[in-house]
Amino acid sequence: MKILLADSNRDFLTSFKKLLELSGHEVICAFDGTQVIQKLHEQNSDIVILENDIPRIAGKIIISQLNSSDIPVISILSSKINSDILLSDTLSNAYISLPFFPSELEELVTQVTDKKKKGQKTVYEDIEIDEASFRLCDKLRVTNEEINVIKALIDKEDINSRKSWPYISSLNNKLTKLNKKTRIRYVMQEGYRLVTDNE
Amino acid sequence: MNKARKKFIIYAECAIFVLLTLLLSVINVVNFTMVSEDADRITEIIASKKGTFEHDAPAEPNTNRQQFGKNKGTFEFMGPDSPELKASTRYFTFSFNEEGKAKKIAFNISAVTEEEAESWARSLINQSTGWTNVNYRYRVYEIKDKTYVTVIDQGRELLPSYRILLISIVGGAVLLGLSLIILIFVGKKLFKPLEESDRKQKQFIANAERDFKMPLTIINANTELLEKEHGQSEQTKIINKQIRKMTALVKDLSVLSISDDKNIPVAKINISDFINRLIDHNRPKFQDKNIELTTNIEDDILLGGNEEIIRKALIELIDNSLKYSVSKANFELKRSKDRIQIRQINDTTLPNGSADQVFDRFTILSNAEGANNAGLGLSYVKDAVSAHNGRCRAKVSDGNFILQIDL
Repeated sequence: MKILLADSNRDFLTSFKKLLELSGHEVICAFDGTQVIQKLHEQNSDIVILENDIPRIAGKIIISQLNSSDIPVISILSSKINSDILLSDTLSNAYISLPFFPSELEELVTQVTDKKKKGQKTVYEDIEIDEASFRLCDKLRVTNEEINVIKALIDKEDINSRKSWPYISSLNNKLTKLNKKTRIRYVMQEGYRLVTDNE
Repeated sequence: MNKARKKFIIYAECAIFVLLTLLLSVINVVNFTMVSEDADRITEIIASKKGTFEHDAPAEPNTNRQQFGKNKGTFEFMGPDSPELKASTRYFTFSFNEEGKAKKIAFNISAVTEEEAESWARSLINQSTGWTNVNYRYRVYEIKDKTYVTVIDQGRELLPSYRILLISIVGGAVLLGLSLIILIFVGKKLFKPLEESDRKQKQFIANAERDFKMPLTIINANTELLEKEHGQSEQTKIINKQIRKMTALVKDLSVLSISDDKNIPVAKINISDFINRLIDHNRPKFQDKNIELTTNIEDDILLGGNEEIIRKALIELIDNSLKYSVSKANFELKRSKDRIQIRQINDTTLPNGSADQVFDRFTILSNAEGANNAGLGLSYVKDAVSAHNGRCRAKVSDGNFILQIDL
């Protein structure tokens, strides 16, 4: 896989380039937003790993361009994920917060590219997830973790509410925006479940 | 820091108000007491003269000047013992026999008629001494089976006292106003270095999020590279272990940064639902630790607040109970007057007394378990509660640690 790795910290780039290459990937590095755009024009990348606050060009602009080109992007955050990010108009395919283990990043790369490749569609009641385009009901963008949460709920699996809370909250927001009858609710003694209000 | 400055100004202003009120009250009370004592001296003198000055011999000519020269203008001379007393005292005295028949003993006053004076004196028969009709001092005494009532007019003597009272009130109010202005000005100067320090601390915490996290990630990555190239060793295991510890600590740092920005987004939260959810989710963990968990949660209590902050705070509360309960834990949520009250009670081996220090950052109470705990959880709870204009208190009583939040 060809990975474009973009971060302003050269040590980070050196370390993770080597690690990802040891895992069999081809890695191109960029130190700032201008280089990211330049490298994207020069060669196709299968996925972009991008520092959210990369200098020179705002991360949002780059992400927006990547979304238009349908190139998946994983954003590196220096703080925890929150609803402001998840509900913004420009959304990456996945987010990972510092500090993280290399295996976490590799796992995320695999998850995102697999979803894109397989392009699975999941339908439940009045909601539909398209993994090829990372969209909810063909309209709103969702992240890798949001897709995982919805799929786990459809399969009635227990989810880690502490870790998944921001995604549960953002998914409910998006379902409300789309005027869907299905919501994620907490059911006593059972946990989080997808509940459709058919009244 | 703004809150701290406001608190300082309020407390300082209250202290000034109390001291000023005390001082001015003492001055006025002492003043009025002295006027009363002077008036009592006069009525005592009249009583000793059987209710009238009329039998006194007239004063010697130039007595005034001679006395002044002798006493060099002392207070005693200017007071009730003045030779001018007879001339300057406006008074009346009536006597009453056992049948209640009145007799005028002296009448040297213009403010009332003789009939009014008699009626007034009659109304005072059963008293002993005191003030009547604001400016008049009276004394009731017995001479040969008759009750005498002497009333003297102290209006002119009281006038300066009233002026002092008025000046005290007005002057006190002006002083309070001026002190408030000075405190506001001084407060700004005084708190500026503290506010600067607070801002730097917040900046440090914000920077630490990036400045610590990235190096940790890079160290992590390079340790893994070393292991891939040269195999795992004791040293790389130790590095990994320490990285995990530091990662947990750095993640805890983020709980220090609740903004005191008044623009935190708020919404109506069903806090009963929140707490029930969290407790339900954590119930198996309490069971695993053999902690008997009981709850008393009132339904449908709504709170206007920031969902994320409240949720994090409740998680910290439950975590705290899970970590430090010995065998019992109880959570209570109820409405109390116009407030919402949350109580977490767990058994403990801590000694009785206030435990408010649990809300301090980096504080873990001494005989509590809590390895790898930075001691930040309850400080977050306090910050979260403060951000919602609430209050936190903690105490230990009869083997129970009681944490109470009022919102």
